[in-house]
Amino acid sequence: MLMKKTILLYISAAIWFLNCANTTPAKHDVSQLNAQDKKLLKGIQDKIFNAFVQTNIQKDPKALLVIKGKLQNLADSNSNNVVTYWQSYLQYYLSICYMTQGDPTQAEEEIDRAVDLMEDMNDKNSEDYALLALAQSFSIQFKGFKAMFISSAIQKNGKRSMAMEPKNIRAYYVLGNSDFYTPEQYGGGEEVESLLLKAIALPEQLNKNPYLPSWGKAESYQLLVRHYLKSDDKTKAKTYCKEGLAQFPNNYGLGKLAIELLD
Amino acid sequence: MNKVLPISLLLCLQLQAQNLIKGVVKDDKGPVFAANVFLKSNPEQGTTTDFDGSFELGVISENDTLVVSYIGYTTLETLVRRLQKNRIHVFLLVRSAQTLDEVILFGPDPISNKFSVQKLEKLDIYMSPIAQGDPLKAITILPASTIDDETVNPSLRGSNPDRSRVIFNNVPIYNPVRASRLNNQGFFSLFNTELIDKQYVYASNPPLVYGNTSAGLVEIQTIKMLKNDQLKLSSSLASTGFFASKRLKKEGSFLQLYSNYQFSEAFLGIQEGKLPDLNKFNTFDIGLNTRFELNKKLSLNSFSYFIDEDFSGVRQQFTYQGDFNSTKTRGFTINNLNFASEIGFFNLNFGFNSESQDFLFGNTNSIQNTNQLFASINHKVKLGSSISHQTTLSWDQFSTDFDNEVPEFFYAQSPESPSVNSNFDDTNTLLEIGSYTSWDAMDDLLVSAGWRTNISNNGQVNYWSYQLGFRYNINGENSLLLSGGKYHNYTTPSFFIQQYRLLNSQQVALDYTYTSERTSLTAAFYYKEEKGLQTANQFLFSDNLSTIGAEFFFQRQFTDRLQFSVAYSFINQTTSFGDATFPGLRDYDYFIKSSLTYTPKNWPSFSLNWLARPGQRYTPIIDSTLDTNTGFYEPIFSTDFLNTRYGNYTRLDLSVNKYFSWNKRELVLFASINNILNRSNQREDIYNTDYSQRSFVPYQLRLLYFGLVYTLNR
Repeated sequence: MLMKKTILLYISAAIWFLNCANTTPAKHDVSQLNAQDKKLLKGIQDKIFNAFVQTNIQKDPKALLVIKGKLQNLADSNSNNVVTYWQSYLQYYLSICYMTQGDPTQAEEEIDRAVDLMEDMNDKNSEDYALLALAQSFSIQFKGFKAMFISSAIQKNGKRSMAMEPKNIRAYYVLGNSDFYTPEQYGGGEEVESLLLKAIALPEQLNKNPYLPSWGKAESYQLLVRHYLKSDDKTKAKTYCKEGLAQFPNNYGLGKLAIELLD
Repeated sequence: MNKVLPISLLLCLQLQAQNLIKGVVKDDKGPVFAANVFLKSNPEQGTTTDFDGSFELGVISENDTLVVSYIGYTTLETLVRRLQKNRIHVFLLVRSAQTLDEVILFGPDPISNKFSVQKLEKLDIYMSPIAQGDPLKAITILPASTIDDETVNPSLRGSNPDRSRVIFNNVPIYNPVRASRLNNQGFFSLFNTELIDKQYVYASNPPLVYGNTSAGLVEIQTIKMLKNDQLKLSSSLASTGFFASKRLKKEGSFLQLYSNYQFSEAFLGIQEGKLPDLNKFNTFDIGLNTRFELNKKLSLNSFSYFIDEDFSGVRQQFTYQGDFNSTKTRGFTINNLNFASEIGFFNLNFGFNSESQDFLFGNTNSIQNTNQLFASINHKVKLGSSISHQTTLSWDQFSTDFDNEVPEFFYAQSPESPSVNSNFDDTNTLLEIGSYTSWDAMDDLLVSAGWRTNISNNGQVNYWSYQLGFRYNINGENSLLLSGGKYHNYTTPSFFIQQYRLLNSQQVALDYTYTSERTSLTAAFYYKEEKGLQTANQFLFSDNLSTIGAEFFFQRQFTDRLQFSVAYSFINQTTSFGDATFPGLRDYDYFIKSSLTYTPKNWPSFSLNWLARPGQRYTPIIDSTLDTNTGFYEPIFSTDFLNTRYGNYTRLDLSVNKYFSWNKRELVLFASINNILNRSNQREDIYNTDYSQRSFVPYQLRLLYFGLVYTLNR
């Protein structure tokens, strides 16, 4: 009797499995997307960053929310890991935006969404793990006592990103970033210098590609300068600030650090 | 004008000279968007694929090489001259094989972890309102935990604890409890939460990565990385101890050393009469966990533990009540050698456990010596992007030597009553081989399958265990787990049952999980048939147990400071003695656990925990006859087995904690009041001399406990 029940159960499971196979939309079936969608994704990193700058000037998240809506429409019509990546990346900036506007509750909600999007993504590659670690790093400030434990997840995701692609600049940046913000009492600050020096020596992208991420180099320079400032090594701070500005002359953060160093 | 014409002409000629290569880039799931397509001679002048994976690229030289690449995939290179003109070529990208670095990083993770019903990390254990920092106590909040005797040896979904196993770093630890009584049950586990990285709970269908379990499994993995050095000093009403951890020079290497001494004087002194069956306890334990990263590919973890327990109290058996004394020493070591290579991740596991227990009560004098040797080798490999496979070979040898003086007549247990010698000396060697596969079948569907068989020796029956599981992630918040299979295990011999007996079970379970930022909801339905001779209590044995159960769990973080949870279980259990069927021992219409935690700002956090269930089932003594040989009355049990229940069990506990931190120091002050309503929950039935009057021994009454933990981080 039990055997009969077990067989029936397996048959039901198999039917259900086949139904799933027929009804679940294929994640990579993006042939229906149009030229406008492609245009949206071309150079999307700069579009998000520029919108973020705009939100800071206008003290209004509208510019980011407009892109968020467009990406959501794109994701709704046909999901794709590239689209999910940029949705999460946008959430990260949206969270920073709310944070600078003094709304930590909304900031936490947005960064949690960034983390969820990446955590739920299947077949993550090196870039995806790096972004997940970055979002988790930013979320740590809202997690109080849990911070110490999220830190181990950041380490794991950052290291996985590095293991999958040892030349991915963003893997080194997120691990350096995590080490920079980990309190010394919990072992922080020991690897930040070596990780960031490695990051700035790597190319932004291994092959130029307008749809894929290229962030991390200017950020690595900024963090490296801040690390040297923190350890009272102004000579090295100046050297790397100058080197960074030579490559990213319009970078606001590096410019601000340069002024600080002049003072 | 004259100059313009030749230039235009040249351009036209060049365009005509270019061949246009058209293609579509795909992977195993369809078109790949944003893949890089370029010529090896000029990587800067490439293109990227469209949403449908298509691309077009102009080529001048037939001798060039076309490169198709995308992060996470193996790069494709094709000679241009091999590509036919005017044809759309399909380029199939294959996901990169796992790199050695990935094997090193993720090889140690359990292959079956996505099929567990709960994963707890160190913080979850510390934050649990009922765990008191104990990893096995932490799982008692789950509806699947059906421990009904205030102990921590896991009973999962109504099964006898001896059917489930606790695995510590790939090695089984039998009876992983301290302060154990004769029935091998204890109030705390042997494990220190500071050692733990993750703890997985499989309430049903234990993954066949491990053997010798026919109910559920708790898998504990220790930490792989130590972020900082630490010294913890703790002191409480009944214990004092320390915990020290230190990173070693070699990166990734560290050691953790701890020791505790437990004593009863103050604990019992301030609450006289609240633990009527306890006279005294003294326990000393020491543990050392070390991890060495020998090189990038090779690591060694070693955990050794020793405990010495002395426990005395008052015990009632039928009509005799007297003092008992139990001393127990136990030591075990668990060693794991991990090796990563291009062909997968290997680990060699070795465990040795030795324990010796003396128990003295009335005319019972029991000396029990147990040794266990365990060795296993596992090989884990990733096949493509979606299949993980593990092969395992294990050898588990259990040796028991009992030298017992036991009552000649079970109802005559006074020191003067006659006793007989009952010795047992036997070894059971379990040699098993098996494999387990986890397959990411589709984006939202995971499938697992496993099998395991024994290589029989010494007349053992040959058996096959097998299982199949499906996890369907409906979306980011909802998930379904359907699993079923057949499982086997051998019992561990005990004072009451001195035998290695083969048990089996057939189970099917459906688990649903909903998790959002602040809410967690689970529901489960299961059915299992458990076969093989097992104890219902010390006098009753059953060879067939049938259980149908339903579980619900709701947890909500209402605000940052207020959290509530409630767990409900329904367990319909029947057992057979011969041809007759009776209710099972863990047959409960309701088993409710609820917890409310409030953490006000600048004030200590408070947790109220409530547990309610019907009383345990027992078979009452309805009559007696005087045995003139012993002078004791011989009890006559009701033939309607397990038809009576003790009174309903209800317990309300309160715990209070306050955390302080300054510079690199932390201080936690804690206090708890267990059974704050001082309710007398019936534990055992005892009788007067001729069994004409029945009374009950209660579980622990209201108890106060407090202490502090001071931590210095470096």
